[in-house]
This record gives sequence, C-alpha cells and structure tokens, in this order.
Amino acid sequence: MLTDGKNLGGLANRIYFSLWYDVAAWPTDPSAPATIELAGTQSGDLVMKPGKRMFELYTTEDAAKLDINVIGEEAGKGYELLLHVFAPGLHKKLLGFMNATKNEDLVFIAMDSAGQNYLLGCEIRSAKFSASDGSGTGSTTDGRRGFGMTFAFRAANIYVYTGNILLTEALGSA
Amino acid sequence: MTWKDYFTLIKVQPGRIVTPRFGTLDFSDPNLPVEKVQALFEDDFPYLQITSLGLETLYPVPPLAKLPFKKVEPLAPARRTVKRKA
Repeated sequence: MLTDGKNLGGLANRIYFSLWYDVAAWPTDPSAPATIELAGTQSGDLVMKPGKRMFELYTTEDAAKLDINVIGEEAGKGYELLLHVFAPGLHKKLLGFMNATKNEDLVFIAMDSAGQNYLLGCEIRSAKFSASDGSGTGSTTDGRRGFGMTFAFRAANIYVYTGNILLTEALGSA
Repeated sequence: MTWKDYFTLIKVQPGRIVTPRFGTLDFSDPNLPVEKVQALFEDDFPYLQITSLGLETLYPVPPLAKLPFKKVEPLAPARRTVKRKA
C-alpha cells in the first residue's frame, strides 16, 4: 500500500558516507520477526567510533539512484546494491573525496524520495567504489561537469535502515 | 527556557543529526523546539538524557488525591477471659 499515494522515484540530494572501520556498532538485522514488514527492517543506530562521524555528499537532482540486483545461484541468492551518484563540479573537495575513498572500505546511507533509508555496509562487508560513469568536464558547454560514481555492496538481505545518521562526532574514549 | 534546560545531549558532540522523524536537526542550536526534542526523547532517541528540571516540568507527578478524613475510634481493650473452675 502507498502512504497517501506517495511514490516518487529517485534518491534525495544528499548521500551520507563514512569509512567502514570508523563504525563502532551496526544496526541489528531482524531475527525471527513477527511480521513480514519487520523482516525488511533493521533496528538500532549505526554507531560511530569516538571522534568519528558520517559526512554528506551532494548529488545532482535526478542523477542518483539505487539499483537492487539479485545475485547468486539457486539456494544461494542474495543482493547487490549499486549506488549511482553524480556530484557536480570538479572542485578540490570532490577530487579529494575520490582520492581518499577509491580503494577504501566504505559505508553509505542513501535516502529515497519516500524518506526510506538504505544502508550499504554491514559488520562483515563494506561498500566499495566500483566504477566511474560520466566523470569529467563534458565536451559541450551544456554538458555535465562533475564526477559520476558507482558504489557496490553485496548482502544476503536488504533492509530499511530506521536509525539516526550522525553528522557530528561521537564522544567516548577510543 | 530552551530545550537544553530540559535535556542533555549525550554520546555525541553538539551538531547535526539526521533523524528519521524530523530530518536534520542541529543540536548545537539552543532554539530547537522543545516539543520536537521531547518527541525524540519519547521515541528512545539514544543521544538525549532528561534533566531534573525537564523531568519536573515535562513529566510532573500529579499530587496524591486527598482521601476523605475519617476519624478512627480506638479499639476497646480486649477483655480477659477468665476460666471458671468447675
């Protein structure tokens, strides 16, 4: 059922990310859920290590999407989530982000137009930069100048993330 | 009075947190509406602790209802039972 008939596609303009090893605790996957809805819902927060936080990455309107592909063979099926993002401009901060993360273990949270969050990353597996799509200056003046990125994450199940997203540093002793 | 009089931010530096219920809130801002912060607290938001003033103001304990006064008469002392000799 659609809530109030709302069913816009696409992702919100801001994607949240951090390094995978900056995460102190992960949300809990459902275990023996009482309803089918709970079987698609994680509970709890993504907790960051002391002094660590998540960051925002701006993406152009209608240029970000989350693809959900089924992978694996009979009796071994799972999901591959592909997060496509286009960050406009080739500014230093964006290039620095790419330089710093291209070979790293990452975690992403992407919000869709219905306000549902999806977490890419889990206790045993991270999201990885997998491809660049349409990155560069563009060839025409009305072309796209910026960085197109695809991040991939593979998991046994897919859930809605219902926790908070810390854009401020976590406290505590390391 | 601001929300900071009623609640204390814990486990994180004052700053922005994206909440599922209200979107992004900046907890370094003392002017956040108390109602929103209270609603988060009631949703078990893990980064808030209530202060004693918050407890007193937002969750006051109702005074005990007064019961009608009833004078209780002291009981008469129990009579000793004296066994008669047969």
